[in-house]
Amino acid sequence: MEEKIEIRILPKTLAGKLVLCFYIVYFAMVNPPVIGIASRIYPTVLGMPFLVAWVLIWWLLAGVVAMVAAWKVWR
Amino acid sequence: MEYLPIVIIFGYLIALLIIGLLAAKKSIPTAADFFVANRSIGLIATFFGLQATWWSAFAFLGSCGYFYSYGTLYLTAFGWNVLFAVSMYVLGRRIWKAGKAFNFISPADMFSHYYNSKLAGLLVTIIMATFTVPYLQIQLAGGGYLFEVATGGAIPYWAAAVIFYVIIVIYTWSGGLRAIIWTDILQGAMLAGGLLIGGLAVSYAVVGGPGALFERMISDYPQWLTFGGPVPYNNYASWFSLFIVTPIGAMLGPQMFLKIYAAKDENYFRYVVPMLCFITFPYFGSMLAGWSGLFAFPKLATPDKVFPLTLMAYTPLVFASFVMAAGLAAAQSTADGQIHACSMLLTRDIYQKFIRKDKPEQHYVLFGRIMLIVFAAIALFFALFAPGYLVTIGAVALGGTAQILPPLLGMFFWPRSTKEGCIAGLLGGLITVVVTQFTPGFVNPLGIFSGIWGLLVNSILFVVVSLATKPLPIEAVRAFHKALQS
Repeated sequence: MEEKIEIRILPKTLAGKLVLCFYIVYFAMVNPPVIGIASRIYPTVLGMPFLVAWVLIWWLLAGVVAMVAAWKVWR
Repeated sequence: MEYLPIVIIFGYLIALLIIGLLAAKKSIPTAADFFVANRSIGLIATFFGLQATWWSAFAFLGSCGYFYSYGTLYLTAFGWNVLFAVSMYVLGRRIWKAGKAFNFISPADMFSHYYNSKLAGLLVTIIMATFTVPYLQIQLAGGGYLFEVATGGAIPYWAAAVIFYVIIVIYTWSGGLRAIIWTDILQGAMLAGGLLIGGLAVSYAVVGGPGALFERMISDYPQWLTFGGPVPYNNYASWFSLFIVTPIGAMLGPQMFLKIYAAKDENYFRYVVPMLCFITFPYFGSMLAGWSGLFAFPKLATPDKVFPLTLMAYTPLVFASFVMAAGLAAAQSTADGQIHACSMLLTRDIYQKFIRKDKPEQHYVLFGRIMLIVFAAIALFFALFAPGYLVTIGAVALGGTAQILPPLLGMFFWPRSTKEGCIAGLLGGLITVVVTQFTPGFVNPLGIFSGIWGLLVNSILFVVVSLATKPLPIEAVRAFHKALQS
């Protein structure tokens, strides 16, 4: 019986799976059709139109999660 | 004061030469050193090497032009930069592991090895070289233009283009990939800083700062701030197409493979993820510059020039020249990697594998150096004599290199993939890209870019043909995956 080739696609740990889930949510939030709900000017956030703020806030969150993942999760 | 811009630009170019020559002192005459810096590059250099190569003249000039013309469409760059960063962990780390385990130097080495097919490797090389040349030409056009503007027209476009390439060839000839990556540190820092600070300065000079700019945009250009804005191009299909094709196409360029191979440590591919995410912030500067341009020059025929024109008109000449030098750095940091990578493709994948097989290492290094000049000359020729034609082809450049994705994913995640599937997918994807890009009346069907249609056809063919053909030898596949897990 041939030994099966082990291919790891999903993360092993719970933290790794949470990071993966976050990025799936992130990519959904900044892409159609979900981003359509943010396609408006008001309410403004720190003076920025809503769509600009939406993209920037999600981007900032993605960076913070990447930082945590790089140092604590992806080992 | 008039001579100061020229001093600034030439000061930057001399700094590049000095860095390049310092890097050359560390070089040894082997192909591994010239093409992948002996796999010895540290974390910071790896990060800047990836970032500066990834951010091209298009990021500097085109991003502002996009904000100017298409409103919010270019905001998708914040998302695609995250996708690019995460891809470095998912794919870059695996490419690095395979490269180190099997001593790969070119991307085709990896495809030929895994799919046990010289043809698959050759196809990858042809796709990469073909689609890199027009992208390279775009760097030259942007760099030459910035050079000309920054020197107040004292150096004409043709001379700027020649100087641009001569400098690249000198330091790349001397220090190979190490010189490119060392210069990337300076160039990467300059372009990120220049874009952000330049954008802020322009917004203050034109309308009184970012807050005032947003207020003016809401009152004067509200249609620029949501989808379906000033032109039909600002829509979901364009957003999604850019989001997918840009990072994947850029990541799978040959210059990026070499920089991945060159890293010293596997762990760098997790640390660079947040770094590549956060370095995206200068695109905020692009947004400020592009939208400020709407108030400074409301009806520009060439939107890509909005940032340099606004800088020159609204900020002190010396400051504008510094920012322009940063733009030049953006173009040069991509162009040097592309010229070097194309020379490697010809040397390693064509000359060494098919023409002169058993020559000493120094022979191939010399050939690679000569190819640097050849590729630089080709790009220069096209930039000076056929710019319009190549820019049209450039539109499909990233969509073309993105076609490498399905066989790459197959290599890492699907052991049932076969060489026939790889070849059929690449050919099908390539034909689809060309057809959906150049057939009148059938260009980018449904508003979705040709690269995405190519990926769709490519993936289907890859899976179907793989399932219908004989699997790869199990032992070879197992050895490859064992190396990835070590």
